Amino acid sequence: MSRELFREVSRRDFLKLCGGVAAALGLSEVSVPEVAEVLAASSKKPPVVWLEFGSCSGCSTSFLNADSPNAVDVLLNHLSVRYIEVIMAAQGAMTEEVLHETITNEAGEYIVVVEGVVPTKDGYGMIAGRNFYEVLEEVAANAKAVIALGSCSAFGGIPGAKPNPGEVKPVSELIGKEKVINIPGCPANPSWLLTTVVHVLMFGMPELDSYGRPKVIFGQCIHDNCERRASFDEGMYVEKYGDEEIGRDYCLVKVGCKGPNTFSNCPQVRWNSGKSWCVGVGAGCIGCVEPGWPDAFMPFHDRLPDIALPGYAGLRADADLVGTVLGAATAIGIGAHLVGAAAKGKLGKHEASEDKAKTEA
Amino acid sequence: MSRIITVDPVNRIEGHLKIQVEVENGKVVNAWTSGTLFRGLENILRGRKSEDAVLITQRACGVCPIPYSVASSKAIEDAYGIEIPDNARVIRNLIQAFQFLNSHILHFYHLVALDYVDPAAVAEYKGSDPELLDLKSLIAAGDTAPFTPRWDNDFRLPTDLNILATKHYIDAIHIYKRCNEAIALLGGKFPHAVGIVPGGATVKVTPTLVTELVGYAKELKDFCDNTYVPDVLAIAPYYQDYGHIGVGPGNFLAYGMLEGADRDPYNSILPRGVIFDGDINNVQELDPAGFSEHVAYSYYEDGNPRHPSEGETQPNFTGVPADPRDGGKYSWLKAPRLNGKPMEVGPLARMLVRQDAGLLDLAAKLKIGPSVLARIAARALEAQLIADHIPEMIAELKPDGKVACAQYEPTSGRGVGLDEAPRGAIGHWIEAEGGRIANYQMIIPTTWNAGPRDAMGQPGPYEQALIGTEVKDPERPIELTRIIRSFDPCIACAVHVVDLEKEKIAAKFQVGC
Repeated sequence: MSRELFREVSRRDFLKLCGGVAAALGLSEVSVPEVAEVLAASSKKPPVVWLEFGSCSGCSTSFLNADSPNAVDVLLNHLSVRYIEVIMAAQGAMTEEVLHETITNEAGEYIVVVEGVVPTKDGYGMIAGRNFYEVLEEVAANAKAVIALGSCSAFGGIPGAKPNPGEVKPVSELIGKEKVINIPGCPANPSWLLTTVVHVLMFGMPELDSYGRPKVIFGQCIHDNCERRASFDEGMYVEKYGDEEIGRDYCLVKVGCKGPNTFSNCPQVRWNSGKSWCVGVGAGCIGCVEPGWPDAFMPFHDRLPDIALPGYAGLRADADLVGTVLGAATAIGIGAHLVGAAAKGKLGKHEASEDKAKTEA
Repeated sequence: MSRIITVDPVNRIEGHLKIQVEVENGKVVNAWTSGTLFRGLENILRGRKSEDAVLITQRACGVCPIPYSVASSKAIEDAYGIEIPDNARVIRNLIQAFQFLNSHILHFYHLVALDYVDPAAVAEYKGSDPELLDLKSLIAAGDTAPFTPRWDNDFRLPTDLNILATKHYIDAIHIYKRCNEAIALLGGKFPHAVGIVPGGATVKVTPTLVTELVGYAKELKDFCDNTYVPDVLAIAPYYQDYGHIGVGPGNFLAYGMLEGADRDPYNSILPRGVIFDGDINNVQELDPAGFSEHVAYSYYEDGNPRHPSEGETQPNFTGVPADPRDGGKYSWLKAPRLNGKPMEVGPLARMLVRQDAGLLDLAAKLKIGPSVLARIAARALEAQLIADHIPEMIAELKPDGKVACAQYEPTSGRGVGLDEAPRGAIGHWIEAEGGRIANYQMIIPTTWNAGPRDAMGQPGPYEQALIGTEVKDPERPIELTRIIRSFDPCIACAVHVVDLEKEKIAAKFQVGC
């Protein structure tokens, strides 16, 4: 196939892709033709190595749910995914050959996606007789960029929760932060992965927050953009799952919504082709994109002020500037709101004094 | 003279699996399957609030998370004596139904098909489908990762059928996504939905929701009727020998799923039951006292086989045996048994326990028994059966009806939740004290299917299915991976560990089913 043919075949898809990407990046429609031009100029599909370690494969299956562009389009027209255990045709020793060919022939050019935690105990996670951490070290060495996809590889996620039985670590703790972009989430939203890849290819490394997350995705507090924010401001809450308020789309903070302490564009991009999201079905956000998740965000169904957060009560420890200020402000804000609601007779006395104590603390 | 063949990793499955076989005169005489990852979810659960188990255990599997939230919620409801509203039963059934469709479709097209279908045939494509033309261009350019390289030693389909099936591989990714959109409407997102909670569900049932579901039901039924089942039937005759390869233990276990308003698992769309010793028309009731779990060949501290309710396990990684024939521990999976027998779980088990006429007729027509082909066909027919039932499930929804029981206090108690995952029977056991998890245990489908030898030295179902297989090309032993893949392995789910204090827990669980 000539380069020209490839361009011709893909131009339509590029334009489609660019619409989605431009929106995700917060760019106006005006920039779409420019985006298309940049993408079309790179005729060779960037090589990708997708490593799956201690995971549930949920970030792989989440990727298959990509909407714009869809996974077929990505695989056929935009990325050359050489190694991805969950769908690649090769098996056994042939798989290892593919991996080594790619990291040798494409040194400095390939993008690595890592899904899952990395156990540091010998034998607790192996592929082809080698420990995961040995595979990671070798593959990351000559990568152009390493994307830690999902909360497991970004921050430790569920397997890293106390007592961390596999002594697992996130990717950046093993290979250093320099090359690593963290795209947390349980799972990561496919839009986040594609937005980040396109950012790397078009604009270079995205600006990251102090947790290594792209700010274009993880820069805004869920609570600030929530469709139920109006009922929060009005002091209207779902008290328990199954109560009649749930039918009224009231605020979910009292059944444990962690939106006020969680930073992502979930309210805008939503999930599964934009069909819904956690708050949309009345369950509330569980904070899955945040460092310290799940421990710092559990119990899942208890409201925020009751949660023992690392460091000191009501605040996230070692949050970066934006996170700390907003996190603190929101935590206190919620306490104040609940007190306000109590004053208006919407809450029982016991809860009111509890909230007040929390706020004052 | 015999030799050992190792396939590691086995790709196009969920998780990390290694298989080793001993081949003598071209035939497998011995087999070992090893889960090569440890995660430890049950350890993580201890001391947390009982309700949190629903969202934590779901993370065992990103391919089929929904059954975990259902089994976990059921166990908690059993422990606290919670009755869920009928709307919640229907919502859970619907989410499960869409989960089964996404998983079965993904399994056939994206995990299994590349063993039988040759997408390189698209080089001959003459039509105008844009996606096939994209693929044709890539083939011409030699840029076909991740569909190449592969073991290409046994492709048998004619060009037209290869092209059609490749087109359906692509279509199936779009359909997979559609199944998950329906789950998102009901549960928030997929994978890892949040909308199932102890006591019921969270979503508001509205006429808009019902309307959207009607659309998905039609689209997915069309796909099963006109694409998935016909593809399986079209491909099967070319691989008819696989109707006798990968037989397995001949013992089948199903807990049942998609309960009706009577909540009777023996009266479900897919009912509960067991079959022993290949006597496939003799379906018996499940005796829950018959469970035991073995660790003789698993990376855990040795102990006598125990009922799951009394299980005690401590990780004990003793290294990878240089030669599996030397004996010793070789897997992170434990070996569960029922009445001392290794049990196959999954679509074939469910459809046999159901005595599904469609499957039995097809098996008679193709002259096949339990095998690779039977598993693949049972999965397709089960998907079709479920798709057929979705419209009546939707009709059971009551707009604005209650979806969860809010009136319960998490206290202390023991409970069990049995349901089905796409890969087979799933069981959760909980012991709660003061609303917190004192002990939690799961036995999940792939542990049944992929577990290693037991204390008596009986190989697990995968291993039994491998033994006796003729391997034509030891460098590309595609027979072996076809057998393993027909079970639809989900290894990440299977390799959690329990860490129960035996003195505290012994004989406490009553596995009342």
